[in-house]
Amino acid sequence: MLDFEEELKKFRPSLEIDQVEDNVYNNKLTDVTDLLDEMLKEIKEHQ
Amino acid sequence: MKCFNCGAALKNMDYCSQCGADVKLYRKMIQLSNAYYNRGLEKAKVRDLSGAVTALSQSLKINKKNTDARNLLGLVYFELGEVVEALSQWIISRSFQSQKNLADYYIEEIQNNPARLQTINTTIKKYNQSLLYCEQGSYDLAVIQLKKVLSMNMNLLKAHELLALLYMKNENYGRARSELKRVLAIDRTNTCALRYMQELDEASGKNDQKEEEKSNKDVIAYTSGNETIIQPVGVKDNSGVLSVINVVIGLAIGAAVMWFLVMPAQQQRTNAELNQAIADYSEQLDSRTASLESLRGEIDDLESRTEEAEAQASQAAEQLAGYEALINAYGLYAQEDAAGALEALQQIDRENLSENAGTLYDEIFASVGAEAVNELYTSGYAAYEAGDYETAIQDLGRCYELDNSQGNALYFLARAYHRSGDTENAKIYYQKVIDEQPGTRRATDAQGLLSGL
Repeated sequence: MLDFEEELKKFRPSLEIDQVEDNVYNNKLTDVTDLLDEMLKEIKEHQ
Repeated sequence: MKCFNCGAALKNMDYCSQCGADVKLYRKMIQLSNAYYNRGLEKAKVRDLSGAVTALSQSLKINKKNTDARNLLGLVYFELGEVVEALSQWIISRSFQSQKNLADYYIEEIQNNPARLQTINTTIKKYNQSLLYCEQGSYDLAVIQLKKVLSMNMNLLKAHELLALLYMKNENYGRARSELKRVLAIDRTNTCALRYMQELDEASGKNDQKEEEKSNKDVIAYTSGNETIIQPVGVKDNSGVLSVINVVIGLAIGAAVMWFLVMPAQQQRTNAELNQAIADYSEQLDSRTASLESLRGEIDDLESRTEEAEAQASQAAEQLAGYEALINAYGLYAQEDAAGALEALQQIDRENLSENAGTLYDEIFASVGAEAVNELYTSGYAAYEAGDYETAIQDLGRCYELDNSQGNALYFLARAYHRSGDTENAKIYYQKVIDEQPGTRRATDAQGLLSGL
């Protein structure tokens, strides 16, 4: 059986249009290629 | 494909020809990112939007510069009603690929329709407000607000899900199911909607549904849009008769409109046209009348000219006759026929003669006038004495005409009329004697003779 209160907590307010800029800046844009790049740099430094 | 280390274009080798970096693993990751993108695309095509979001997010975690995956992720978010997330993905995509990027088109499409953008923003605000109502326990207000949100933006799945949850709390399972069906129509694998649906099935099982149907035999319930319509079974469906009645009423209203609105307007238009035609004809008639009056004026002018010309011709003829009579009078005067000359002069209108002719007229008249008068009196009196009263009347009358100062001529003229038996003329001339020669013997005699008549 659903717990209404618990389910309600899962709903989050939506971002409004004027918050797009903040959302873009807060977006984590790190990907695996960045990790690979960092790994290669560390390997070079150790060498 | 470009080298992650130096950005040089990679060839079909496991290392970069520019910087020598090992790109074997990097190439594998790019391929993996593309594979996730393809999977996301397939899921999006079959409206497995939640699955598409997962796959595309994986693709971007591996390669954040996969603009195709990012653009598609934005498109999927937009379809789910997450406009801010969609715009964010497209803006990031454009930052990685500034040219020939489909994200430009998406952003432009949204920016070119500010009214739509404003509506979306309003729906987001209302959704947040409804969440606030839920936190405050005002569930009815939240339901109203969510209905408004969905009437403006049907694709906001979170609003459908929240509304379904509120309906479920109120045990309004039919409406909750309807909302969840709408969610699943947009996103077929929406986890939340599927879970709620499962809960609904458990809460309102088939047995319960049958019992509910049995208990509600007298009503039929069905859903239209956001509303559940409950119709009593016992009510007889008179829609056919009502349709006929409505058609008849409609025809009557149409006829009334024709009679009271259209016909007067038509009549008014016809009257206006007739009035205009009458005005045109009146104007033409006035014009014709004016031209007729003008022609009549010309005719009168011509007639007056004709009369004037005729008068001038007549005057000229009279002048000519006067000159001829003057010549004739002069001839008689030269032959010493004073009476004939005087008679000829009397036929002449002195006013019509020229200055020289008038002078000649006066000279002849002065010479023959007195002589002629004497001659006429002498001959007339002689005729009177001789009893020739006809000649006496003629000569004496002529004498008096030429010179009305001839009192004797007038007296004997009256006497001649008396003796000839013409008492009427005798009375006239006796009276003239009395009037013109008062106190004289002739007047006394005339009075006595007049009394005797």
